[in-house]
Amino acid sequence: MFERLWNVFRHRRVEDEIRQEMESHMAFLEEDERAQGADAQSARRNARLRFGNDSVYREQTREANLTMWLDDLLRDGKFACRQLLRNPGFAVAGVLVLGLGIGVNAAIFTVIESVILRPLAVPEPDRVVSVLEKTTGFETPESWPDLLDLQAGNRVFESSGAFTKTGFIFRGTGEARMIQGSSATPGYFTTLRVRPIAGRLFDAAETREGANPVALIREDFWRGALDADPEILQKTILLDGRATQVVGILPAQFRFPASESVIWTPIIPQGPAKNRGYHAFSMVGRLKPGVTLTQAQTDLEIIMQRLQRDYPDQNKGRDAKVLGFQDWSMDKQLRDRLVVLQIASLALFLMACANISSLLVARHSLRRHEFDIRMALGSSRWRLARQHLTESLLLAGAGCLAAVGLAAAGVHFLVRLYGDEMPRAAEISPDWRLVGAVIAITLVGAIAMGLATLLHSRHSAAGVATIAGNRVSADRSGVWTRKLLVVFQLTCAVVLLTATASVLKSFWQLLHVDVGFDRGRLLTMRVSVPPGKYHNGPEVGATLAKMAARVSGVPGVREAAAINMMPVSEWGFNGNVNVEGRPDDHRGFFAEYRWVTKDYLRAMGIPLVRGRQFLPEEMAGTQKAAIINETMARDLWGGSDPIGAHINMFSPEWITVVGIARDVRQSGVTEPASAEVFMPAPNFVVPFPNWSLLVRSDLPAASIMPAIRREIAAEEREAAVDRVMSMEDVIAGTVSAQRIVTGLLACFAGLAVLLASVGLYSVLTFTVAARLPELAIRAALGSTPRALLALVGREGVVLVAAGLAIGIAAMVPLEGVVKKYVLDAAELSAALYAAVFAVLLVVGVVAVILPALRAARIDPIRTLRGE
Amino acid sequence: MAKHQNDRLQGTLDLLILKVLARSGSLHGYAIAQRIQQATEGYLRIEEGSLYPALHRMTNDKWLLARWSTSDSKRKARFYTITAEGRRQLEEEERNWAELTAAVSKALQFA
Repeated sequence: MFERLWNVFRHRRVEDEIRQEMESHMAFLEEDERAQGADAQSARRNARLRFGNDSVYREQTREANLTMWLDDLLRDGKFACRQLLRNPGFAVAGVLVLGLGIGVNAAIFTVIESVILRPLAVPEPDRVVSVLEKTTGFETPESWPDLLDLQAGNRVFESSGAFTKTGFIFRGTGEARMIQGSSATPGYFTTLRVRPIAGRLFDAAETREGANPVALIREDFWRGALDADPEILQKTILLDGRATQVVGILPAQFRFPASESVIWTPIIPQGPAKNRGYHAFSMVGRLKPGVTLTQAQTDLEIIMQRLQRDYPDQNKGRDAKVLGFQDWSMDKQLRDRLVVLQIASLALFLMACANISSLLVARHSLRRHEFDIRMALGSSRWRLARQHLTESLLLAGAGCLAAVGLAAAGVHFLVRLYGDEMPRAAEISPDWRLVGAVIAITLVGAIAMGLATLLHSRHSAAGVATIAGNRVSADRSGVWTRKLLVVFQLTCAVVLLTATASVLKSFWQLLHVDVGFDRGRLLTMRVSVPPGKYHNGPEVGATLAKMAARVSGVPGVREAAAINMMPVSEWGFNGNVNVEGRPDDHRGFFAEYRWVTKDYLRAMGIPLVRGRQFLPEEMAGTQKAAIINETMARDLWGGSDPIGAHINMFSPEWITVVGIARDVRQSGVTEPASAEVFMPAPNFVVPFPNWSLLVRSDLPAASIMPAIRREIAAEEREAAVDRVMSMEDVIAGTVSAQRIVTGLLACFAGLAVLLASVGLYSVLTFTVAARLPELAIRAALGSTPRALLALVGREGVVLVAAGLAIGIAAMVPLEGVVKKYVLDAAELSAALYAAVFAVLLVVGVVAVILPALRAARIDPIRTLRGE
Repeated sequence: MAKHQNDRLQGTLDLLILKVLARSGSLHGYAIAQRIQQATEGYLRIEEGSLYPALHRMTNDKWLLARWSTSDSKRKARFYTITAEGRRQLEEEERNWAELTAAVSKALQFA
């Protein structure tokens, strides 16, 4: 074998040897002839005659040597290169179309693989589960007592723990800033099996009330923000205004609960956070070996049912829900969007393949002549097939290279677009197995395409006839294949375009939805007070109320107010509502709690439907009052009047309902309003340090922000102000994912229409070229240009009609799929179909009219002479 | 390496070449063709177009050994010799051939 391969490098010598051997054979023959009495000249001639076609023998002998096989491959490669370069338009189109088709797919798949499919970076991730509590319409974290009961009562977990995501105000060398992290129980770390790279995890004493503050930090935070200080474990850092001891460093790969989590502190529940109605702690558990999700679900459900019976006030209707940790940490909307993009890009890829195949078939028809001549001169069919294969492989190879480049750029682009919205964006990296798979698929595709074209050459086995004359043989089978491919492309274009149109329509509706408040000239920011200094809710609420009052005095500010959660983008502070005098079955009604400062409703432009605003004594916190929204009034009171009713939520104390505010989209533009209770800021119940400040002003942010920051600092020097943006940007931010998907889908649909029309155009152009002599004869016999136009036009129109019909027929079963997986798809109306139909019809007519005009302008004399 | 389209025919040529070389030692292509023609009293004429591919293939399969040398008439030619592996192959092919001919003649007698 080595010898044969070695022959590759000395192929010239092998060829020389074969030639010499043949020559010596010929010489023996010549000698023989002479011995039989022939003269020198006729001896040579006879020897040649007796020997036969030495070049064919040489060729056959060469093929007996593997060496030559490889040598031929090289030769085929060179020839294929020359062929492609001779027709650069075809080559560039082919490489681009293939590169785009594969590249887009690979990019989206890379993201899907990294963000969704790849197992989490913890040991035995299959056994890690997340436990939620489920009530009607909501899934919430556990409350602290529920967590303790679940941990003590279950028989399915090897270990379990809990965490809650929080932000911290970190003051390093510079200004105070927010960093993201989480509070967690020691069990959280043992469940995820993370080991510190330096130091240790929390010990039990550090989780008790009154313990000295401690923290775990992530390796990259240590290297970045703390300059990789080697003595960090002997030092404290300033966290939420308190000197906090760093006890350990966790590896940079540990990105839980979120990729931006760089710091962890122990959970030390205090005050109301210890109540059974305060749901803030997300439970994770590691299943014992062999325990299934279903078994865990059943086991925890039993405990939750016991808690329902024991604590009907807080736990009525609450059930357990066990999820794989990976499923929990995955954003389902993001997943669905990526899947939609992947499907769209696959459709695009199929179209690209159809396009290339149709180009190859056309090229083959044009090169029929060349292949027929080569066949007549003794080339074997296998030899020709190899030529075909080499050419399509070369094209595919170049396409692959382009695709790898495009995929890398595409991934980069997607990560930049989705940025914060992708939970595991930092983990995105190319998967080399994927690259291998792409290349393998492409090669198989190339071979298939090569063989497909070869099928056409089978018909021309006796193609010698075409050499004689008949130059543009009517290669009907080739034309048929191409027509089918064009119809397929048109069908794909219809489906993609229709789906995209519905998404576009819903996005348009989304942008123009009435959020329920005045979104213009409203500046928003997040204000965080240092939790170390504020130990209870009323302190935080009162401080924010004072800040809002100060800020509303800034020149140029018309109104300013604060709320504990940013409208439209944040939600999650919620719990049960009980109505005084109602029987037990009203327990379990769920509402969002909002604490607001004095002028919140007025500053936001939210009108009161009934009742009144808070009175000064209520705003001061001395008298308890609440304003509810329309949804809550409707759901809890139906037709009767809630004003004056007494409700309670997190404590037994009764609160009087004084007003009803109009519904706003508090939890997101896409989310319909849910039940809400507004309460004065000083009644805030937990020392949650992050609030939102809203400022209505006609001045640009840059000119009033310094004064606003000054006023906030004057109230609390340690407060951090960040995320300064207009309300329009906040709203846009909540729909940015839809914007991206819609944009990408629109791009794909545009490309699909382009591919389909190019395919249509090229098949008709080719048909016209192939039928030129026929058309010329028709023209010579008196056909008018108009008749010729109609003749060719009809062919194109039939294709367009077929594509549209099949595409729209295909949408009937696909409509359900689109609605199910494209969350934002609007209803597919007849108007929408009509629009898609019109777009494709116009594009189709343009693609048909150009070749048809060429047919109509035919000059019979010149064409027939040329023939 | 791809098998020849007609294995039996190919086998026959291989068998003849191997037999001739086993009997006569070292021969060049022309002489091999001559020997076969003589041995069959002119009945089998070996085509050059089949002979050389076969010789090269068998050389690549290590049944034959090829080297350049000068003939009796002082002409440079490529001489082939049979190898040990070639002899084993010859034995097998002879056996196959005997079985085949026996089978064919039986079929002709009784069919």
